[in-house]
Amino acid sequence: MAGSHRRHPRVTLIIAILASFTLLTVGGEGVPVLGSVRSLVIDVLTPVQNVVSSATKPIRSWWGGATDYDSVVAENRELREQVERLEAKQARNANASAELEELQRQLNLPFVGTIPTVTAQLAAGPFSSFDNTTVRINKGSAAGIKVDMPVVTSDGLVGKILSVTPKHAVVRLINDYDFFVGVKLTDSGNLAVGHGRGPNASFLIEEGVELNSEVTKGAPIVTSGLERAAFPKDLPIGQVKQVTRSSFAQTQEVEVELYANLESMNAVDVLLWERPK
Amino acid sequence: MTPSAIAARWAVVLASVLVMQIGVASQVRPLGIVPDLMVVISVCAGLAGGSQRGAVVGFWAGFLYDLPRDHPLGLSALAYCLIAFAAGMLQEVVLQTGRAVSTVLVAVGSAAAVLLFAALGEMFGAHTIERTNLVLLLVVVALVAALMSRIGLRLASWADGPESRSMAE
Repeated sequence: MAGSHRRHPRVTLIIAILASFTLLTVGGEGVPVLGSVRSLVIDVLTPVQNVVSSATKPIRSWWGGATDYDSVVAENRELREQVERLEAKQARNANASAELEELQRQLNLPFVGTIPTVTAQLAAGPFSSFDNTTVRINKGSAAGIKVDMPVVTSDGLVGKILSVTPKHAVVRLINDYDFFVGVKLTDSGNLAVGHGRGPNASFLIEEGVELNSEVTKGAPIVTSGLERAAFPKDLPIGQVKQVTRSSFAQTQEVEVELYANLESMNAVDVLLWERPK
Repeated sequence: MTPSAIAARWAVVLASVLVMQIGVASQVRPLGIVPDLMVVISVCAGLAGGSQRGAVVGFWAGFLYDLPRDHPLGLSALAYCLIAFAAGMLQEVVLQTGRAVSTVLVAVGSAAAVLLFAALGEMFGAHTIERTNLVLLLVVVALVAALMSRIGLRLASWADGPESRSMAE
């Protein structure tokens, strides 16, 4: 590392740049050894992160309260409202067996049908601030998970598998810039393509909804599941939040409010489903 | 110190900082931003050991940090080695730097490396800029880098060995 200390710094820089470009060109997939090293590093570091996360939770809670007071107040308000809603709901649902039945329906993921699923927990958080639209889960190829498999919660579609190691997998969330899915607007029957736009923007459908189509606010949106589609059909995605007419493109842009709350997920279900070939 | 001893020390430092990055920094997120300790140690390596050391350590620090992430492999390696090299060049040109100056250099260098990473990510189609609040990220990275600069420079000087103590430390 320091054999020719300060003799040929520019040569060293050029070698480092060339090595970086080589890595960028061949990537992890091009060289199996690199892929294995990557898997190993993720499998080793994820438990480390989880252990440290558990150990430092009190400090982080204090830090979060000290540096993010506004959001704590907002969260507190939201939780109070949630408690009120739940109390009202509890009063309505006097029959405990009916509640149990509802819970079981959620756990059974009725929209999944006969597709086998693997339930997985989310790891402690992103490794960097550029990973806000991916999450890691504690199940991997050993549980039968493969790249591109759909990931859902009881609310609906949340993403798909981006990469897999034997013990872990990375999920590309539905709000990621590179997430595209064929959708069906259930009220108009329109088939279109929707995509994520990052953590701070709504999911958007901007292709396939013609100007003369009737799109109503609140209408449910599901996966289209056309032949050889990347997702099975009728997975719930969200509902129409806002419709904008784009006369330039002769289409309507539909902003979608996702059913799933991506911020508060603790566990997800991976559908062991592969795109038909 | 022999080159292999220096390399071994740097391996220990980089592995330790990576564990701190993944275990601690990714959990303590001021304003929702994950601080970047790998870039801090890269810039400190350049300031403490010169441009050549900066390029080598920056490359390995970036490569290690690229491994568990979902970006194209080599992106951080490229950004960090370039900025750490530039920090080393600056250190060699300026020669005399007090504590305040080296703290500012670490902060500015770290923010510059993250900015370069984001720009390179866009070039390579990774949509890095859309995936985060870049301005806030740069501010947090610079502040954390300033706070961590003394520790980073001490670590870098320890790894370089007693004969290559720099004035940055």
